[in-house]
Amino acid sequence: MKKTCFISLLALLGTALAEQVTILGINDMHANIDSVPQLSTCVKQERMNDPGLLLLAAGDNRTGNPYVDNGNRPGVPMITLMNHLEFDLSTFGNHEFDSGPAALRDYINAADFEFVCANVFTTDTQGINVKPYKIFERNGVRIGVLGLVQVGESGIPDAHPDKCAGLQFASPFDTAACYKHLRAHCDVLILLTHLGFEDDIKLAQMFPEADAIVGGHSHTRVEKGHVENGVLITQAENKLKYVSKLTFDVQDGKVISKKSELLPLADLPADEAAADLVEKAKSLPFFKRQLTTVKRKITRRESLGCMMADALCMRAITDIAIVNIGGVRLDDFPAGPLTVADVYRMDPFGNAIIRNTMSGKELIAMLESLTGSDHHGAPCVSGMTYKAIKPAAELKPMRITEAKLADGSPIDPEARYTVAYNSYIASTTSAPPENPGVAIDSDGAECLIRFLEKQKEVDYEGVSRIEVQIQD
Amino acid sequence: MIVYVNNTTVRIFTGATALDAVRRYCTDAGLPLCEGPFYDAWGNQIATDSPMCDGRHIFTTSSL
Repeated sequence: MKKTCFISLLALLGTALAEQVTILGINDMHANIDSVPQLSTCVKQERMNDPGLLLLAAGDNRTGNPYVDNGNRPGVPMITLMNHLEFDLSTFGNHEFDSGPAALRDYINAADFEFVCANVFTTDTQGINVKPYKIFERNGVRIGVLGLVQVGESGIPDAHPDKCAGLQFASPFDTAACYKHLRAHCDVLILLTHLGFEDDIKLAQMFPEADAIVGGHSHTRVEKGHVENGVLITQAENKLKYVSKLTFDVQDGKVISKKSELLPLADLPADEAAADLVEKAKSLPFFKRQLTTVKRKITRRESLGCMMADALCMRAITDIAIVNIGGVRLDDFPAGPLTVADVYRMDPFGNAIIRNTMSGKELIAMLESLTGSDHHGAPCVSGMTYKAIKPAAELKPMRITEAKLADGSPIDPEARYTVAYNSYIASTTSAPPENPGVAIDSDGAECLIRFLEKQKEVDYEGVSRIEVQIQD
Repeated sequence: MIVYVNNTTVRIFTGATALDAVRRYCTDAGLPLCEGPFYDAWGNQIATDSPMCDGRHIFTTSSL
């Protein structure tokens, strides 16, 4: 009797004791290094509760901060910070590919943690060797993590094709289906994905064997996790506003309960050691770099706008470029050195640049519409000149009376022209062209930096390509 | 590409963000520009720089 009771008590204790597994998931940090000290504080606090927790990154760790992206080792400053926080694993986001395969290899090699991604394939010569998954063991619990990156219609992630040279990508869904066998080898199975929330839903529908998805790419704030087909889907918006905390109770090799919550980071105190590392990363002389010399003081905003438009033409390789005058944030510029910092003062917006092909008629209509939405005045151009009449009242479209290409030939309404302009124009013109165009891989400031660094000296004083007559 | 803002078809450049798509929607509809918050079809808030893809739905008010 006593023996029976003792065995029964042991059995009861055995079924009552479950191991708890904690996972912190972060996604789309986009090089927001200023918030890393707060993340460090959060991770330290959580590690005090569970020293065995896993810290996972769902990709797009970089791209979004010139201190991280534009040095001689693109992305590596972010890896240095992730090493300090002792990240356990990361997958690739589309922006991990932004600097090309050689930079990606350097970025991966700089990490103390591994990258996993099951649907990217590389040649031996590239030296980019990532495993599809990794299995951790924490307190006797086996935690498997499979990595997956989004692939667009072009067959590569949303990255410039040149930057993915030599890399092959497979459908994340077809690939995931090949890894269902991991279920038998893990007590907790996590899919660490950079697909976007909607595709995580689809993935959960075809992969109910997974316990959870730590997702990214769509910058979605999933407050308490979303359960789809039994799979817990999480995502923590972006730029270190939150971290997802997933908690699993595991018993006899199976997850018996799971939950997720978002931990906000903004109001946490900064971890000093991490803050020191961030300051070190920001001591790079990137912003002080002189790009060119301005020969004579540029006294008019329109002239600066012409320079910015010329930069778009060069970078996007177009016949014509348009810059809304409201997008030129300086009224003048002194003679002398022009630095990277000056470029960001001139164009601080980070607007995407669109390359498009449109008819002359569409081009004129779009130009005319811009004075209807920009109270600063008429747009600046490259590759063309124009004359217009504008009503005196603010925010009225102008009427272009003459438009010529740079060679003096008139713009033909029926001819097709390649045109570059920014995303603000694309989104707010009341006369959008039929073809919406495609964003290139540089924003306005990057175009201007690339343009100016090729020239020892620039002289835009007096450059004017528009004549606008105000009519009462 | 084609995306849907508040169930309205919006044609926007490839590589657009949620903010670009909503601005296009507001301009097409003659509405004041809306800068956020934005939501997905499940009522999750999404960041304004969330990348758009063909066929994606976003909303300027919660769908819940």
